[in-house]
Amino acid sequence: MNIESERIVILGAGSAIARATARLWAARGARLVLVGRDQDRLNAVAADLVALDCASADAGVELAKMVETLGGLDILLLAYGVLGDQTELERDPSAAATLIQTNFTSAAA
Amino acid sequence: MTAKAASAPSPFVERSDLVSWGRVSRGVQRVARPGFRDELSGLPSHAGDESLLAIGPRRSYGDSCLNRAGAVVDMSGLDRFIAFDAATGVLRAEAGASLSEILRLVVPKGWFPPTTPGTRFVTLGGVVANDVHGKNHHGAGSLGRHVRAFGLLRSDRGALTVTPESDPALFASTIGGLGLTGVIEWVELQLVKIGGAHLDVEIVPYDNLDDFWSLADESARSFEHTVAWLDCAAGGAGTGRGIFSRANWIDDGAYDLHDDKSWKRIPLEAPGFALNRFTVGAFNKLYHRVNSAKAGTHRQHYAPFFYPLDAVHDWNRLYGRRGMLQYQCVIPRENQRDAIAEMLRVIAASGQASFLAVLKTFGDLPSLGVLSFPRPGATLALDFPFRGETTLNLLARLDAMVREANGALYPAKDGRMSREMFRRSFPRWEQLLKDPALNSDFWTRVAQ
Repeated sequence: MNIESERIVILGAGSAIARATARLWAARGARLVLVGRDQDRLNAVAADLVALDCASADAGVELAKMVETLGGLDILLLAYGVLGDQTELERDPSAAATLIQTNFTSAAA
Repeated sequence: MTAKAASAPSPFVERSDLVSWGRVSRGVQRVARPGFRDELSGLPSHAGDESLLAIGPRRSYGDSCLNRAGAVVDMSGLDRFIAFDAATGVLRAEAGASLSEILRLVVPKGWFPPTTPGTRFVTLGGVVANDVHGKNHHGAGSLGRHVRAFGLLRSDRGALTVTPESDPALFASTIGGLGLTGVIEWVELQLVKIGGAHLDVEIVPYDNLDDFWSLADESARSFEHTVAWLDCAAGGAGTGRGIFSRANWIDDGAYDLHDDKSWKRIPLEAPGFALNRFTVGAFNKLYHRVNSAKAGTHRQHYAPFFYPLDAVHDWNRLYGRRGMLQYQCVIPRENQRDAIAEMLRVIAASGQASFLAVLKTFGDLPSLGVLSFPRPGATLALDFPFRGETTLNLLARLDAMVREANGALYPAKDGRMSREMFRRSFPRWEQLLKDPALNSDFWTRVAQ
């Protein structure tokens, strides 16, 4: 696969797994959009990828362009999730529902 | 709704497998491994009254990278590049970034660290905290001279950006400051331009110490990099014989990278007898012979030239479960010839001759740190398989010679020097602007 032409969105880009994957993709010239909750951490991850030659890009503009031509989005890496407290989850259906929502369906919301 | 527990789990875990490179000091160590810089400021509250020490991959040989009375912060997760300007060669990266990763980024763009220690598996924070030197010391000085700025997180002053101008005393304390002046968060380094990834290396076998001094003098003028490997088992007229290696970069535009994947591994700790007197002597003789056969000039990539031992991953395990002690001293120029000759005679006669012995002359460029090791003269570095009292007694004899010659020992290599030896080696030690919340086993031993 020619990764250079790939346009990739990473959700949960602050996680270690996302970071390692993004470094591999960036080194091969992919265009990346990083999405996460903590802007400072995303900036740190982005600066690292920029140094590794992943072109600097405004994530918002880039994402809008991808949405506009949705066919242009090639890969979406979902790299976030929570473990939760097992005992509490077994006892409390609403906590379990929240966790399932966070881990399995939130990306599509 | 269920009330959530308010307190976050402690980021510290107990580990018993954390050892330094010499593998002599062992014990349980509490460790946290942050993934982002913003996590650092919260660590002291989790550590309670315990002291902290930021550490890297623990390539220091003794106890300067351990803090068993307190806790350590493993910085390997903070290894991101922050900025690199390929036009000026200024690199800023988090303290946990390894030299190996940095080389991958900068070599293809024609840049190289201003000086490098004998392994690339060290971090930026570590090379600053130990003010490391390399084979080009006679022209470049030690690493601290090339540091433009660093970020320092102190328990008493918060996050600081320190340059040689902004706070000269804190800068001089942190260069070579063994990580004790605050947690080094990031470093900005001025790199040097290279015209390719290879060097013209000339190998000159020589027969005795007099020849070494002549070669060192003559080579410092026309070669950027010089070093000698010694046969420590050779006594008598052959004392100090070895292989002199001198090199300059080649400007051929071939910027190929090193390979970190083709390591040869030492699968298990070698049995203690693997490095007895016979095998070490035989190895050193063989090394001398092999390199004599290679005498002359040849083109060599930077990896085998600067990092020959990195090709054998975990080579320290060759010394077996008891580990090894390294001894590295520097002898001032006016005393270097007599003192080094005497030390080599004692080492050869002891039969504990080490696997590796390196001799290198330091130049005149001053080191900037309060606790910097390099100073004008010559530095000798040797490994000794640890055999308890026998080894310690021999090293105590060497200490006496170093003391007599007004020399110094290198904290990064040490796990045993006395308080007196430390204080004589670093007469300005009390000027260190130590962070009260940081400590190390080494510091407890020599300074408290």
